[in-house]
Amino acid sequence: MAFPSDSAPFVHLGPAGDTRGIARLLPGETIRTGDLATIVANAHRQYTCAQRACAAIPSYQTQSLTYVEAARVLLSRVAGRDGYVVYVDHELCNVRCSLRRVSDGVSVDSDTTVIVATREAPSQLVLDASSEATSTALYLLVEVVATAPATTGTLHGGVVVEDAAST
Amino acid sequence: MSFSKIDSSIVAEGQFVGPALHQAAQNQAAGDTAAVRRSSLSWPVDARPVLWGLEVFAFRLGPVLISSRTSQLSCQFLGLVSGADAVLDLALVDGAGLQVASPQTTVSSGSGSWALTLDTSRRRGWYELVLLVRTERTATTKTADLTAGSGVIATATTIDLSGLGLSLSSSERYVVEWNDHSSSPASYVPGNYPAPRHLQWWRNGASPTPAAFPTSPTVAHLWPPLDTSELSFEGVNHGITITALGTVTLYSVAITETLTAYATDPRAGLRPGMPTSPSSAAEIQARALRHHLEQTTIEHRGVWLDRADADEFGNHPSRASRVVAYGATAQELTRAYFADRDRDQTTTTQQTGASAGTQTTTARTSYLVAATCLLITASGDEGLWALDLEWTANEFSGSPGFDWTDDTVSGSAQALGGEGFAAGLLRNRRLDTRRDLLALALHLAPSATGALGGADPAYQHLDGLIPASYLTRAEGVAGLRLFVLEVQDDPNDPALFRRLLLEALGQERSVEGVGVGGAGRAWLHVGPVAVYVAPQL
Repeated sequence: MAFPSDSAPFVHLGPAGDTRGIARLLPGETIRTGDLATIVANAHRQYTCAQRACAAIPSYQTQSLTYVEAARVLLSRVAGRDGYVVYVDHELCNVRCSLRRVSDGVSVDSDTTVIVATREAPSQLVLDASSEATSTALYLLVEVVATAPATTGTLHGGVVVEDAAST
Repeated sequence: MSFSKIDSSIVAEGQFVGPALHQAAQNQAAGDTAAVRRSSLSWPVDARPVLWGLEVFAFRLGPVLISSRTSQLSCQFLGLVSGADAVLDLALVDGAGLQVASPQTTVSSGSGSWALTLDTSRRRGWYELVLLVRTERTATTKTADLTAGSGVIATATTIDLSGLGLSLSSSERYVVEWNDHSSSPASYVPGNYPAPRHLQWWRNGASPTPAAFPTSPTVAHLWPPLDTSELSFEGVNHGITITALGTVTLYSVAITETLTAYATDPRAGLRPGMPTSPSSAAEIQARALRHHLEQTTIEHRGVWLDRADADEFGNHPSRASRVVAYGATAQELTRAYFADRDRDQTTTTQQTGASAGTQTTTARTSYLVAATCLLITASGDEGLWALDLEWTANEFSGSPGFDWTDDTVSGSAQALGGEGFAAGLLRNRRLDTRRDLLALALHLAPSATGALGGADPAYQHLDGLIPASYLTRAEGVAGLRLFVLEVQDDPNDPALFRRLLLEALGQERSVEGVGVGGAGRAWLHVGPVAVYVAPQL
């Protein structure tokens, strides 16, 4: 038994009613070229749509001038995806992300973002896991370093991971 | 399985429907394989939850929306089991309480990663996923003998350790047990000694720094508190034994829907050897659509932990939940970061009928923001209390140069749905609350004077742990309450990166003659927040 509906009220912010762009066919229609095209397009879309390997860590602060560990994010993997795109929201710190095997901690791939100003839009890192079997458990090691002495670098809780697009 | 390129001329000419559907079926199955719904929750190194306890505690991992498409949740944990073995279990919490659906697993000390699975084949809808944990005793013990009437128990919630020469380590977790004096035992029935108690926090002196765990404490705080009837042993010679328990330190957990049911083969609507039946195309489409809606992605799972942040009472966020007190200022619960995502823009071509021609539809994406909250009161009041809660969500769109350091709701924030800063309000939710036990077990560590809320909740050793027995209580009386907020994205905003800010404002409401304010105020504990793409059109 799930939560009763009255304990989970839906609160709408803004108008609803827009529909997703999936054409629907009415009963009684025969299959037409357009219908078939829609079915094919949906199958294509389902395959190519980037599924998100959602991951998030809370914020972290450092004053260290050498890279220190901020967090480890365990990643789940699926077949057909070659790696991960990591989005990092950071301020006054550089971030290094490395993809490592859970079994032995060996790095599979790594990437680093270096900010050029005191404030930065989110950075995007791409990590390749194509050399590893899908069954190999991997985690993301997030390390940060402050950009200057007596400066507090902040990871704004914005480490987001999604699957890299399929080839 | 890989993607099959379908010859567009076959589709365009309306010929060879069978081969085209065959290829579409392959692509749909391949998409299913790659579209496993999953999420991951992690903690920074300085705020990793430490789970322990002689009794079973529950640790919240956030809400899960279980669809008919999946029959099992697989959770892999990255962390460290140290000191002694730990007994772990996954469970779901719903309106009726705790629903344990997986066998207990014993994880050996030294383990760095482990996996647990949960059968969800008979579950549908929203649940809170919790990790149940109990840890064994280690070989590390410290003992002391006390003579009759030495005044060891200062209050029901504390034990006086001054002069005993016991050394405790802040990195360890302890229970205290009472037993016979080692050399001159009294004629006391051993079974009348109290059950073991957890050391929630200890200090040295009357005005402690909450974050400090001195190695030579004078006072240790107990959980659960001792009942008056349990204090009779004070009058006889007796001994105490303080034993370190094993701990489970969590780094990260990955939650994956496994054993998913794939979509019906698109060809199933076509009878072999027969012309296409009139309703077949609609049936194929309906099945694909239904399946698509059940596998909407999870955008975020996390708890907001800003180590520099504090609420209006000076309390820092817990490692596992956010404390919401009534007050004038909305308190941030979480931030969800959305990267660029599929905008669900679809171009379809209709050659007949009123809608003939090419049409491009850009859909708005709606999100379901879900979390469970737990209402508790501090000690001192037994009346009914309620909170009016105002949950708000605001979207910050990102582009180069955007001021990301501004985490206040201001003119630079874009309200979701274009309707201004909208809010949902839960009014007149009367909740019975229970005093003392839960408040003490959770984040409101007692101060030196025994008052609640006076210490920093992030440092006490039961932080984030809810006694599992508490979750068996009926929803509406106690236990977890789910809230779901639906917010809608703006399809016209070209930003590539978005931040959803979820806040809560508690408005205290007094009922049945209990005064507002004072020691009896209510708090809410909000666990990890999960954000799903709404499975709707």
